[in-house]
Amino acid sequence: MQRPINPEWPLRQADELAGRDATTRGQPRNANLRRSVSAAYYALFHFIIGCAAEKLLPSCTHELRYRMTRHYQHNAVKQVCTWVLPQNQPAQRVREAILRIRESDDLIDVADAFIQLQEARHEADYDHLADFTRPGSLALIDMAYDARNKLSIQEELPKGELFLAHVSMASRLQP
Amino acid sequence: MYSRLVVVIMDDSIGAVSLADRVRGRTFGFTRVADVTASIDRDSEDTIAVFLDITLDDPDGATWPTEDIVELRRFLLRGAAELELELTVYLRLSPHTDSPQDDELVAQ
Repeated sequence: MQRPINPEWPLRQADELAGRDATTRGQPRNANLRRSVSAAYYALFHFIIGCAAEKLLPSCTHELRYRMTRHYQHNAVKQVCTWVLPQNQPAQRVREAILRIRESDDLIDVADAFIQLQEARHEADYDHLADFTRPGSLALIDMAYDARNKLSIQEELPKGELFLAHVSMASRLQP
Repeated sequence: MYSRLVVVIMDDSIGAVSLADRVRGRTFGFTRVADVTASIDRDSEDTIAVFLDITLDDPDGATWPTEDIVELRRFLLRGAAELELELTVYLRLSPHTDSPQDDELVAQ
């Protein structure tokens, strides 16, 4: 049986690993905290590209849409998110559209959350010196939840559609 | 080319420190920023970026309220734009008090 990646599942896993409901003293294992941050990032990545693929292929089967999501690239999503942040200069050809997207505080939050979580995931997986605590890891997981909630609302609105269209177009088809 | 890079990094170093100064001691909702350290380093894509290590007062629950962290992040994004910081700003949030993790408790 094929079971697609439901972004809710890695989010729940992240909560469990970071000890969201734990009542014991101390903190979870360091490896669990690191994995929780990684899971939160992948949950948000899959949620964003899932929304983008749905907008791109509204009438296709789930299977075709899932196949299409394999073409989305992490750095391409990050590129769009970086443009959306207010301190950056978007490239000339996307400038007008990006300025429209920036009118939504929620979409800026989504873009910032993606950027923060991607970097945190990298540190969680590779950086021995990075410090992961229970409150800090849960704050990152909450960032993923918050971004998911905001994009769920925004994806139905023109600025959200614009954001997702850029996410789709920033990635290249991989033959 | 090299000297321009040095100037950019120096400008951004000053901006990063200014950003840290703006947020240090400030309260967002119920959450107070106890301390901030700013540094310039390369990120996972080998791009020069600002890293803010932010120590927050210990949360009442398992973590800090989401709204407080959103407010903090928005404050920093606005600040970075005002300071014309060209680099991406990454946050690392830590509680004031650290406590042992499970493997460390077993090792003791």
